[in-house]
Amino acid sequence: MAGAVGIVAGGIAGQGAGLRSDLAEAAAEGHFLHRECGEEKSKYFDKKAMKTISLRTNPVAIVELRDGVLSAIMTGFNEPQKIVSVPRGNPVTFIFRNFDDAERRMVASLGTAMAAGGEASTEKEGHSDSNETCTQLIPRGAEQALTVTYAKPSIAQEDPLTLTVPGVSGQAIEVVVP
Amino acid sequence: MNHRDSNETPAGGRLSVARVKAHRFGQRALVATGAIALLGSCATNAPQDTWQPKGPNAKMIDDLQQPVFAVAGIIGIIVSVAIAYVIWRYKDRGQPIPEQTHGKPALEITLTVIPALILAVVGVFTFRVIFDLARTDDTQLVINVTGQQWWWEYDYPVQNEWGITQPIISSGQLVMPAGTKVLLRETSRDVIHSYWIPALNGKRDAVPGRIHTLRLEADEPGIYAGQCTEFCGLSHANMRMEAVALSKEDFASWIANQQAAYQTPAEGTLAKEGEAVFLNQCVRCHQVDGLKRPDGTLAIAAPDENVWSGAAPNLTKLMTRNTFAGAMFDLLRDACRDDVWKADSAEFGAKYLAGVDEACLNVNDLRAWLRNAPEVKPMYANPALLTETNGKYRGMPNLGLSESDIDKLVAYLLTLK
Ligand code: HEC
Ligand SMILES: [Cu+2]
Repeated sequence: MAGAVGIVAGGIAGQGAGLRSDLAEAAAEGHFLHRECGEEKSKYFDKKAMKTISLRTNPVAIVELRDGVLSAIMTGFNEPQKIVSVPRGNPVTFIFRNFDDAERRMVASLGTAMAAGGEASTEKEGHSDSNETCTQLIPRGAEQALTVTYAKPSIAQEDPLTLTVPGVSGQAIEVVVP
Repeated sequence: MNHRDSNETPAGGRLSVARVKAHRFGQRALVATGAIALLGSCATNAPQDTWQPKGPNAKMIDDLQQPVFAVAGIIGIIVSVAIAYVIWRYKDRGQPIPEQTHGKPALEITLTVIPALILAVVGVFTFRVIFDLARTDDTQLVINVTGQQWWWEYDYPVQNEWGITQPIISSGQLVMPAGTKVLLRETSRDVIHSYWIPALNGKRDAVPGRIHTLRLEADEPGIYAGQCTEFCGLSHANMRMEAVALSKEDFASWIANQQAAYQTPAEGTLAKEGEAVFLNQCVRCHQVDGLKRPDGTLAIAAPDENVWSGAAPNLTKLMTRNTFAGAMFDLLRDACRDDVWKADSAEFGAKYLAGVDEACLNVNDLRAWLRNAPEVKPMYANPALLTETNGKYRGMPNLGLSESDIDKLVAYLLTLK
């Protein structure tokens, strides 16, 4: 009981500390309407969103940028992979880990063929017309989760679906949706 | 409280007759259950028997459970006999109540330490098996498994060493090479399901949003039956699956055929007419890879818009499987099915790879399915009751097809192999 009170009290106090107030401000400014998926550094940055991933045991793949090489680590595959196969029409979670000195983000292309209503992603908030979604920019040693639903199979896409890191050219993880 | 109250009412007498009847019914049910359990244990054709391991993972579990079962059985017998003896020996025969004592530390400590030791020994072996069964670093082939109400989807990620150069997608029957360490990466599209092929390993839950792994390995080619083992709604009991182990050569042929290009039926055939019906009626849910619309564009299914789980079985190579609708129905007639199931392991591969042809097709069940699927497999597919799912079906709806459309569709489906 005392513990529960403590947790609630902590939550209220934490809210007062204003950790996320800049996010509220960003939303008010319409910041999230133009999603930044390039190399640009956002004015608003959720610094608390790193190293807090509770999905550690069950992502579809962990995508690492290490020594300039982008690779996907998946349970069952002994070697890092360049192709990730994910079930169609089901939310899948990737974890992106940055071991590069520069701040990096991971971008998932969602393809030209999307589900009805132009929603290829589970993230419902309005975003740019480009068919992609991305993580925050994160510094070395940090990690971010990205949950995506691919409603259409790869054969329906003009170009392969990919996971890329802006600023790291010539490298991509291909996402195959059967 | 109800009992006592009702006994005091005039109806009490009748009620107690009812209760005596209920009691008798209970006794009979108990005897019948016992008899069925006893007779059931004599079954020779029990493909989902956990006591007949057919691969190293299931063998590990069996090697653990046999001695544990023996130890538990011996203890169970000792305890039962001791209780029976005490009940008989110290029965109330009007003898005086013996002197009452409190506690016997030596006895109590012994009776605590002995079970603790037994459990510790069992625990050591159990943990070893748990960790061995959780290994993923020795995997030779990965297969993704996705559960949804009420069937399993399998997709084979690109693995060049197996000749898998493009993803292969299938359902119902999991085809795998024998003598190979296969790792399933399981997830679910709706509720929690659980994958269980008793002859090959224990159970593993398929949970939405998570990837759980399950090792499978079959010693010999053959078919190993299984069952979804986490209650998942109306047709849970009809959510079955089979693992089909093929020799490595046969598996290679299977892979090659699964990746073979789509062949459109010849002009002027019934099957060609069936293709047109399929494009009109079925392609909104079912993908057939390579199937083109009359205007030359690829037909891309949209199960995400029509089915609650977001998926319907891929039918590209339907007739290479022996079952359909969550392995609930056979695609083969009984005689042809027996021929495959009872084939010895040398002949089995060729028989399985032959797939389903017109002579062997279980046309009755397939037609019944096409005529009115929810009638033969309970599914929430009544269009009037779909408000909770935004008009999306759980399962395949009744499409109100005419018999002549069904003729055409069956002819078309027979070409999908
Ligand atoms: C609204 C979506 C929908 C439509 C339209 C539809 N189906 Fe289905 N179908 C399903 C679903 C979902 C299943 C899986 C049901 C199950 O096994 O519980 C299924 C299962 C099947 C199966 C069994 C496949 C397997 O591997 O188990 C066949 C065969 C099939 N459908 C044929 C057809 C044909 C032919 C048509 C067109 C006349 C059609 N379906 C139209 C949703 C649909
Ligand atoms: Cu199930």
